[in-house]
Amino acid sequence: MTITASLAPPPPAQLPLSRSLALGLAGAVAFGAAAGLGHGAAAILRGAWMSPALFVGGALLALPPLYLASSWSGSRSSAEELVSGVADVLGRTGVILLGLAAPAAFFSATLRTPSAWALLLAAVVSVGAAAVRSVSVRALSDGLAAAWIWSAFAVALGVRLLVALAHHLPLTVTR
Amino acid sequence: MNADAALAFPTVPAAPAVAPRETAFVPPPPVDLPPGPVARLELLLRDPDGFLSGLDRATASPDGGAVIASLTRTLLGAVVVGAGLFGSVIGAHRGGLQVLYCTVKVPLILLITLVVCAAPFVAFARAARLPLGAREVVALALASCARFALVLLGLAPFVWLMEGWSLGYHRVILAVVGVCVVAGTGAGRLLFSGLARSGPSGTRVGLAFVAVFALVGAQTSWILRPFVVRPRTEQVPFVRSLEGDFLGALGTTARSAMDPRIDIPSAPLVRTVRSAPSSAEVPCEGSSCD
Repeated sequence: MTITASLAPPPPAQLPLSRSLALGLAGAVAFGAAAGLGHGAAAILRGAWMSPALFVGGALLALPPLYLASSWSGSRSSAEELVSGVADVLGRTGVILLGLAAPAAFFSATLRTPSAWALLLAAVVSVGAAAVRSVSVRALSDGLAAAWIWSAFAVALGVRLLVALAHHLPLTVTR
Repeated sequence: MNADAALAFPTVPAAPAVAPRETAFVPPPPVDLPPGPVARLELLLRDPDGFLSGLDRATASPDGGAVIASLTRTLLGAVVVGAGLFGSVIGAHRGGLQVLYCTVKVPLILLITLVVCAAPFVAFARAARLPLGAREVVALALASCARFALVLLGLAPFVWLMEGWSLGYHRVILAVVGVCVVAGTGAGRLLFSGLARSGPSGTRVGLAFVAVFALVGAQTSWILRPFVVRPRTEQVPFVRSLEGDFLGALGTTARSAMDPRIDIPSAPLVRTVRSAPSSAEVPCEGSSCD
């Protein structure tokens, strides 16, 4: 064991369900609002509801197929454990989004080219993909095929949500 | 009191009757951070693992706060001095006031980027459940920035040499970018070592750190431009207006370095050139100005 591991503060334990959900929601709201910061109050408000719609809504929509995939792959996790696991991942995603709010605000205020769209999309896709992978590893470790199928479904769901929200995206390019 | 008794050596405690159970693994002796700022910076450059070990001990010691505060001052000083001197070498390509501008702006790039990235760094570490507090994460990021600045300082003569060879605006920019890549590799070595000591997910967290830091750093350098000024620019501002972005400009620069006939400014430029026989001022645009 390294000195760091022995003397540094222990890793934070899993949060209760309600706190995880609140953290996920707060992080998504903060990130969305920050992404619209450079484009006026309306863009901030749009970002503040669209980002939770994407992340929290996506998690809720992907939950039932996750339970099916878990049961078909022979996992013994109960529905309550699955919900708790997804909420924990959502909470950690919220922490990441909360941290990314500062760079999002920075880019929103200073980047005024079409690259801003690509950057925002890349950030959202990266965080979403990491969350999907984390849930998949955690809940579907017993069945590789089920993990792949559910992951593909979750990614498709995310893309569908993104497309549905696309015409509301807060980042408008102003030259 | 007997003088002999007063000067007696303290008794050596007797060896424990039962030997410790785990004697096979002997961890490497922990290293304390050296007291002086120069020695600390030398350790940072020459022995990143030793520096990280010292940082661990400083963080865990009872007077860790004072040590970390003093170390923070040293690291900030290294960033300001190292990056500032590198900036002055970049500014020397144009000369005059631009030397002063770049001496101020290059350290600002690192410091602004660090401030913007501190929150995501702490968030990534917490989300990955690394046993690192916010203070350790920020200290590690600052130490990486200081190593970056020190390597920049070490490679500043290379940039000066390139400027002396009159290789042109675009090639000097590519030399600066190349030097930054080398310095970034040195800083990344420290960052990844520090995170890998904290757990198996440290490398992934390090990759996320680097991605965010590189993007924010590129954008910060873009909004604080110009650094290497085009030869035909008459008046050099401290910063330009918000237009274009770093990646687009880097692509243009790379194409121009390969083919000097290509020189596309990020915004349409209208300038005047004097024709030799008549001295009449003729408006020109883009590459025709050269």
